[in-house]
Amino acid sequence: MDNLVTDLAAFIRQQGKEPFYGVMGNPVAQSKSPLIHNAALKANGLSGSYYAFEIPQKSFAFVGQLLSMPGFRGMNVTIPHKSRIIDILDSTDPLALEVGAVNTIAALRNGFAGYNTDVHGFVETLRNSALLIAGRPAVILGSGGAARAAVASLRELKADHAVVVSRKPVDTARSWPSAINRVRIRFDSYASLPSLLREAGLVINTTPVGMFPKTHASPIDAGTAQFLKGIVCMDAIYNPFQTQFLKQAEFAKAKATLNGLPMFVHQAAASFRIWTGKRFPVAEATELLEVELKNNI
Amino acid sequence: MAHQRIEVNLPLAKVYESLNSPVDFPRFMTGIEEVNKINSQTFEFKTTIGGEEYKWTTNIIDDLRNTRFAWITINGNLNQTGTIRFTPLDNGTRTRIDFTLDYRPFFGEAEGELKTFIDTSEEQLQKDLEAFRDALENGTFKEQTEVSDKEQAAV
Repeated sequence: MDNLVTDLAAFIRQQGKEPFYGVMGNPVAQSKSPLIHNAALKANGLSGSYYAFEIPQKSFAFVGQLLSMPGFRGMNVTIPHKSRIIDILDSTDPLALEVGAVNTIAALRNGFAGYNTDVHGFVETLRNSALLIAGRPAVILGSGGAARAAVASLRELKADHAVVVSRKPVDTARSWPSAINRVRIRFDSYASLPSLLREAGLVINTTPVGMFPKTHASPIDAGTAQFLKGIVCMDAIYNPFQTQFLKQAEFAKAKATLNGLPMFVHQAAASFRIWTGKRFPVAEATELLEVELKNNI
Repeated sequence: MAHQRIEVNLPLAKVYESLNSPVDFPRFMTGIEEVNKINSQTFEFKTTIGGEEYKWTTNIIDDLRNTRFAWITINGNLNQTGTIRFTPLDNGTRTRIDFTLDYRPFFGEAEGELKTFIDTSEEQLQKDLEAFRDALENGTFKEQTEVSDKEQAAV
């Protein structure tokens, strides 16, 4: 069966007791999750398949039916359902509640439980740079769900506090808490970036700016990019591998440049572990994705 | 801050499910006398140190199934924070536990018996985790839990 399931109603009618996992969202056609999760199931000798379910907002009512099927084992959740899904779950991990988004659902004995493994993805990606991050502010570009997960990850990395940079910092401050996962948050604008970067140990781009196909765009201008020198720079984007932002960082002699591929793989690994208790083949999945993405360029 | 690492010859899911409920902590943590569940996220801990009763309320702040379990103290007369990390070994058939536990008073420095309790917490945690591992591997940890559940049901 194809990885991409477009006709959800047909899947619900046809699927028997065969174990299944999936990602639900809209759009999901571009999702690489089926590729790596099906490889992980195979590597662990587990039965079942992982599918992509395209579920627009108007079809959200089908989600309950999908999760209630006897073969359901686990689901990843992506845009636009990450917040709304919390309402239909029986329990949600406190950290996911603080972040305000669930990206993983598991069927437990006492009902459906929600988790956020994006935080884990950020932590694992940045763990090797933790010494360079600890005790200094971290600058987060963007104010969406990924930015909240990035802020939550800073506790484990022992950053001093987060500065969330957005185009409308006053509006952002109104809709955000003052701390997530006990990480204090300040809000500022792109105009303040030069002074913010002088203090920062880490900067993470969580905006979609620079994502394929608009690969020449960057969230920061050329003049500001010189202040990336000596800083750990991460882009949550993994397509392309090296975004314009990471090119700027490398040119400015950043301390490290990290793309979003390890983050994507590690969030998947945490989801897989939640569902199966088994090891996710991180290195093999990374290699698969690298080949797949290179073929698509 | 006390940190101990131990490996258990049991699958990750089983080990996680035996450690993700603080009410079971007194079964292997000798420094904790009683834990009562207030709601799904909040637990009240009690213990006695040097004849003095310590009571504190914790909130679970992170419960990533089969990966991590963490809590902080929100009020009481002893500030406890804990993080348990679970790592699958040998394709999930064995499990590594990293247990971090920190005790400190809310005000001032620890003194007397409390200071001794905190200073020896690392050593104690090691003994407690070894006892936990042994009980879990030989099946007695589950039996203790089941007996306790029956006792509660009888009440």
